Amino acid sequence: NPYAGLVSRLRASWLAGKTRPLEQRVAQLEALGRFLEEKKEEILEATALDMRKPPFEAYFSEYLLCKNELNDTLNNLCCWMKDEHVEKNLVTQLDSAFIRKDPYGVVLIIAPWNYPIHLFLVPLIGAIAAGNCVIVKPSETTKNTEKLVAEVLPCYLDKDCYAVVTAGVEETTKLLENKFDYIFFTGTPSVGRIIMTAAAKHLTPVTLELGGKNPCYVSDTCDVRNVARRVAWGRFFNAGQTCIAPDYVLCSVEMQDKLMPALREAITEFYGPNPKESPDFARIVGDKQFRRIQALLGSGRVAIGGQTDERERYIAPTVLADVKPSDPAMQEEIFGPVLPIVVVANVEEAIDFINARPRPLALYVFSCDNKVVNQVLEQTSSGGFCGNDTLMHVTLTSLPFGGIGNSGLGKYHGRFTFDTFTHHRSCLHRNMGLEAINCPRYPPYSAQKLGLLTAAFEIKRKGMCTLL
Amino acid sequence: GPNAFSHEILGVLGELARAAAELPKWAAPRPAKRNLLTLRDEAFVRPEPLGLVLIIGAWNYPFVLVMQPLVGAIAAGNAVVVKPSEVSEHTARLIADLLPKYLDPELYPVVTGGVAETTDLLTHRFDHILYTGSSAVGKIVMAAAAKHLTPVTLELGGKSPCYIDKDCDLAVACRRITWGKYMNCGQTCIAPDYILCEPSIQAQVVENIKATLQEFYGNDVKSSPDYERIINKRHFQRVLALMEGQKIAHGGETDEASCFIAPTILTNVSPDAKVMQEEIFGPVLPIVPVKSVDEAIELINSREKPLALYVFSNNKKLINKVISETTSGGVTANDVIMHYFLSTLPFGGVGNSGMGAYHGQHSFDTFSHHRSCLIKDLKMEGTHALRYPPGSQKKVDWAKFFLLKRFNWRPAGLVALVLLGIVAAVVIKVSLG
Repeated sequence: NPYAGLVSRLRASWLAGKTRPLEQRVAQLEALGRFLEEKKEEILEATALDMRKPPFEAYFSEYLLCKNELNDTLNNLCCWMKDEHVEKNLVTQLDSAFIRKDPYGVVLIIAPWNYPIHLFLVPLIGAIAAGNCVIVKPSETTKNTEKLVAEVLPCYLDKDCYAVVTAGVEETTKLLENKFDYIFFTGTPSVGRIIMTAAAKHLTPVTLELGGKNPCYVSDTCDVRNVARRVAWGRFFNAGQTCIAPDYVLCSVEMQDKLMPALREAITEFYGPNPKESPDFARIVGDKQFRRIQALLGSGRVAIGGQTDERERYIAPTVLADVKPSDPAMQEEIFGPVLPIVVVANVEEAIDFINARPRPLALYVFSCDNKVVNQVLEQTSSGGFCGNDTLMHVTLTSLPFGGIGNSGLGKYHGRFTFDTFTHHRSCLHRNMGLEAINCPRYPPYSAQKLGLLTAAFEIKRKGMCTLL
Repeated sequence: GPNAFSHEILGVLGELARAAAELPKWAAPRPAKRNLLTLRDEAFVRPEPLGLVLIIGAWNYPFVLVMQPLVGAIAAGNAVVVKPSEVSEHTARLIADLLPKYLDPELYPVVTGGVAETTDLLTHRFDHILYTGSSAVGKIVMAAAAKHLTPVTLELGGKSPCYIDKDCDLAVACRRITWGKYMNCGQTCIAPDYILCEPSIQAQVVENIKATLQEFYGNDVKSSPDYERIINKRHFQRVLALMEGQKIAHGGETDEASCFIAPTILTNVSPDAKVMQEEIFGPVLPIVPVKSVDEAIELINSREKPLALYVFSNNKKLINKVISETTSGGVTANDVIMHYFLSTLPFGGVGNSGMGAYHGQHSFDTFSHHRSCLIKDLKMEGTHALRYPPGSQKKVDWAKFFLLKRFNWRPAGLVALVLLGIVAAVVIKVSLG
């Protein structure tokens, strides 16, 4: 077990209470802020090297959104850490009842390659804020970013409490043999199962941020131009390698005809006549992923784009028309710049289509008619939901971000990250006096005592007991 | 008798009343705070049913441990499979007979059976599983759930420590401890499992507990109608074995035929003793002497995280120290068990003692999916233009303005924010117009 030493070193720091004091947590979080500020250029460079991530996109997702979370946490940590007093019942009126926010201990964060800084940093912010020791395992697929994080991040943080581990599949399996007090994983559902199975051996709680095919229903009553831009933006951001990207469109055949020219216009507006030359369009992260997405291009017919260049791992922003549910593009999460359109007769058929499939991480509906938006919202289930836009629901730190079923378990962002890495410990601090009040509960039991207990404990259907 | 009513039924009635009264509030969409960019949008969290829930009960409080979660699961809008413990076979049969008479068995079926049936049940896909029982089986349940990525709430167990400070009203403390320890013949997941105290008060603790036992069960415990029995022969043998080689300060009498074990106190127990290696789940109370509260804390922290932790002291600072330097599922200070009965407190374990929590609204939240919703306008495209490619420094600056949370600058900040918002909206409209 090559990581046993590291884990026990961190556990010793945890047991010594090093990560509990507020001042320590704030100092580490501020150090994370300095990492973001001082290494901004290096981050943009590394992500550009790894997958030609456009600087604008990298700035937005890897810097801006992380800074947001950091500031939100620093602004509110004091408040989040406080004991939360709860409403008391009759019997506990004179006691102190509160929820204490306890750290879990030593936590593990495993991050994926598509937003390689963001997807470890945002959980890390919450884990540190909650008072834990942390091991971060960045993705081995984005080599330059992995190197940056492994070499630079430990310089900013207390090495006794926080560590970065670089590991491929085999080493990660060994890492998972150790006992952690929480595991936070972002990645695919199949690996999610492996993580949870490993966690079960130690009864380690987990948060799994997984994925799936996020449907995007476009109703007949909508402003086609705006829809096309918002959908195109969401789909082609990071060359489609986004867990919450709109994976496929459901619409009527008439809407498909209207959408096509609007999508073409939006793509040209964003990336110019030849997206290959645009500095704002990313590339596929690796050859394996490139070939996988390329194979999906045979679905339906290519209405826009379709060009590829294996050397550069370039796949043009592509829209596939008349895709059938049985086509390859509809069998797996696309995770690439390919948008299939599947024709449905009406919103009811769209809802049935969505409900026949695993629950997605995100669900999108575009309509000028609020009733349609609400109908889809109420009759489906998904991790999150955004009406009339894509992706944006995750930029609001007050909304918890997470999946359901195959798309994940648990949630985070903002305060929810802090809560994820916190054990909410119920505490009741009672009075040593007034022992007489406790008498009804002691043996020898009697009907009279039971009557008193019932009166004291029972909550009547309408309103509370009238005493006190 | 009255014991079962107060422990098994009263709690459920309370949960039902609370759920009925507060369900509209719990189930309503919860608005979320918006930022500058989303001021005109609707942002809320919508509690939704998870779908199909499995509740696996335990034998020690066989009724409440399926019914209380069931209340929450139904309140949250789920269909539920109820699997009571086969060890408490009479209650299991009762639930299987009665529940279908009151609830639609198509939506809330009861499944009975043992290990084989439960293993088979766990191969199916559920949307949440709540299991109450041992840590060993908890691991099996979670591993089965992992195959379907099913979230779990595991209410497990462990050894719940009870520290008694020199500075406390020993008579009151020992009465409360006696109540919690010996109720249900010690077969309570949150019973004080063992006592930690300084050697100087050990004898007094024993005397006080003896006196309370006399008060509760009279001279002949065996004939008291209020003293229970061990559930079966297997557990009887298990608990008996834990007493081997220990100094019995009180009790120790047993009768295998009726699975009777007298309320027993062991003194000068070593942390390495067999009775200190597993959850006792029986009427045997070891006292482990410690030199100080620091030694007690160290001992507690060297072991698995317990489901409950108890500390008795007149010194508020000492109580705070014990709570702050340890962790556990829950805590009651100056009493035992009682945090379980306040449904506004989430009830659950941590580490080996479990994950997740329930009771009251926490049950509803456990059995719900909290779905984040953002409903925007199809108009106002102007503000969206900022984020579209092609990228530019100007756009970056605007993005920072709209999205970046800054350090707190209220209350003047709020006014400034509103003014800035208006100015920004006007400027954008003008620049795009």
